[in-house]
Amino acid sequence: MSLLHVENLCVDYTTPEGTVRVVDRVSLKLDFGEVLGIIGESGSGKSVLALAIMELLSSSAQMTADLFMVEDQDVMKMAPAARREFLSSRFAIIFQEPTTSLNPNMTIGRQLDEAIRYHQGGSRRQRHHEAIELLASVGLDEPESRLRQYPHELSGGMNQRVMIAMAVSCRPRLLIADEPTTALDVTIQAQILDLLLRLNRDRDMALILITHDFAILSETTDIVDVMYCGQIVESGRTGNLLRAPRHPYTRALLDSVPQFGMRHKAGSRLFNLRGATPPMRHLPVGCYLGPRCPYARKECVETPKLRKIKGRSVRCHFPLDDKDKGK
Amino acid sequence: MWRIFPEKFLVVLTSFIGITLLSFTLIRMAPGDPVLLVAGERSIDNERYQTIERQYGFDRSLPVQYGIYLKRLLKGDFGTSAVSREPVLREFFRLFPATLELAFCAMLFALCLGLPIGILAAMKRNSLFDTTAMSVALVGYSMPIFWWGMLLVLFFSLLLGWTPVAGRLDFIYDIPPRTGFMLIDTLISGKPYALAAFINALHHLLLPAIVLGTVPLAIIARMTRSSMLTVLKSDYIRTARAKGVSSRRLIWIHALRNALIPILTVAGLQVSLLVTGAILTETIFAWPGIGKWMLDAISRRDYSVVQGGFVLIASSVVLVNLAIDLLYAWVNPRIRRGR
Repeated sequence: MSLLHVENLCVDYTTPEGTVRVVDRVSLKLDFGEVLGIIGESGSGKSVLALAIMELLSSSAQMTADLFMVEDQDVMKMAPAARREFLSSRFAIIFQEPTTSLNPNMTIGRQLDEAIRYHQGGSRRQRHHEAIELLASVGLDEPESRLRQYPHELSGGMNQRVMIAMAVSCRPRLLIADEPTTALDVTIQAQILDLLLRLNRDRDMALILITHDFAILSETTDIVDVMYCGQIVESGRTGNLLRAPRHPYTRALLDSVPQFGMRHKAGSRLFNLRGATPPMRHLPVGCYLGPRCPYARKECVETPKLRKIKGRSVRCHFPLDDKDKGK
Repeated sequence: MWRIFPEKFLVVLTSFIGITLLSFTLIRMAPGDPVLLVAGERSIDNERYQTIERQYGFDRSLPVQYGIYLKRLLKGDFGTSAVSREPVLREFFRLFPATLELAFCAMLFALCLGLPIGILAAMKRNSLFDTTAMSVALVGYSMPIFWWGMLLVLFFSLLLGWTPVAGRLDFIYDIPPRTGFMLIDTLISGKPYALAAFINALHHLLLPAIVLGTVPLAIIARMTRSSMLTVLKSDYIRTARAKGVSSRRLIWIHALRNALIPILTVAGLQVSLLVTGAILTETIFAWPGIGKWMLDAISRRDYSVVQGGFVLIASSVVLVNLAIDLLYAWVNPRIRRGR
């Protein structure tokens, strides 16, 4: 039994100009306690995928999937209200902007209490103690006085800790962290990541970490999915994938990360994928990377399938091998 | 909430100085001899002329005149009506409750209808209800009040005979004015027909309140809708949904309180609009309030009343806005708890 098993999940947005597919046949399989990283540029559909898994899409979006199983229960067969109830009791999510993600008009205590009441219940006293314990467990000092404060009185890092406390209050089997550190200072980033990994270990809670930063993934995740234009283009164990990327896009992403001190090496420049991410309503024919890909040949006008190569999934007609060092 | 008080007090003080300067200039800008304007008569004897001239300091320099004027205002002397020979302040306080009662009911009508309509329209965005309600609101907003008022009188009072045409109470009831608020006065009058009089007063109040409340209703409904839509799209609503908060609680607890902040500001601005609206509404319905009083004073060239009424009405609008500001701070912790 796996915790989350999704096959061919699609998200379509209805716009005045027609339907736009933002997430295209994404399949995921996540075991209990596993850490999955999803990486991609802005607009690659990674956040929408997270919202779809949480059943938080806006009404203009439709989600379809061939399979959506959570702990062997078929989520697609549930009525919308039951589905939301089911998912919100097992999964939790935190977002990029912790300060705007908290209600500015409610104290931290009330917002935390609401989450505890929904998922655990208990008397007022019990919930109060639980709230203090939760805040302490995510590393907030003076938890008791924090309960009486408003989000605007706390820093971004502290608010993200509050978000995490709220998320883990339902004892979730899975926490989705959608760019949890992007809006925070670098020193705080490391603390928040450490906290997430500790909760992953201590509570046996699986983690989906969505980011555009390879440095974060390499330190934290077991498996990485690379997304481009709503599709997963490469998926594999983190170490292998970083050491020897098979998809040209993964290679390009890795090469565009600045290396420490590289500016001082003669002739070395940051790699730069030509062109820009195509808009979702005007995707190129065949492989979506085609027009930007340095390896593209005429076969690339055919749509590539996700193929298994040595324990890796790659969506490419001409996957790179270990010797390829990029162009 | 009280943290913002000193700053707001300064604003009130500045507004008051502005108001008095304006009203001070008014009487001196009007064509003719200011002494005669204040006296309200074409020909007065020399002795009375000199008394008024000295009393108001018309023979002194302008700054001194303004000082004298301020001093009189602070003592509560707003002049005497040239028509009724009654102190302006006393007339104001006798008539003000009628306007207050009308304005309060109009605002109540606008809020009680505007908030739910706006919330519902936001929840059912782009539905038939939403488009209909917002179109009707736009029509209501653009409708001239005097025309709308007469239309309602024509239909409900004259054609159907459901509501009285004018006034605050039928003449068969004898209610002593104690508070000036007819709804309260009828109930505490202790007369055997107290309840019947109360219902009669309510009947009289119905149409004027609807007429006066129409524009605020339209504005509040549209504002509530857009404010709710903005809030419902915000990150913290998404967080609350992720927590599994029920949709009813989402709307009423999480969204509404945040959406109320801009609505409150708009509602506060409506208060000053109510006064202008009251002039028209009170004239249509022969409502004995300050709106009608001011209009009568203007047509009779009763300058003391115009001047004094102007200061008193403007000051009360300023005070209401101060109250709204305090209320605003109360619902918004970012102001209440400093930032």
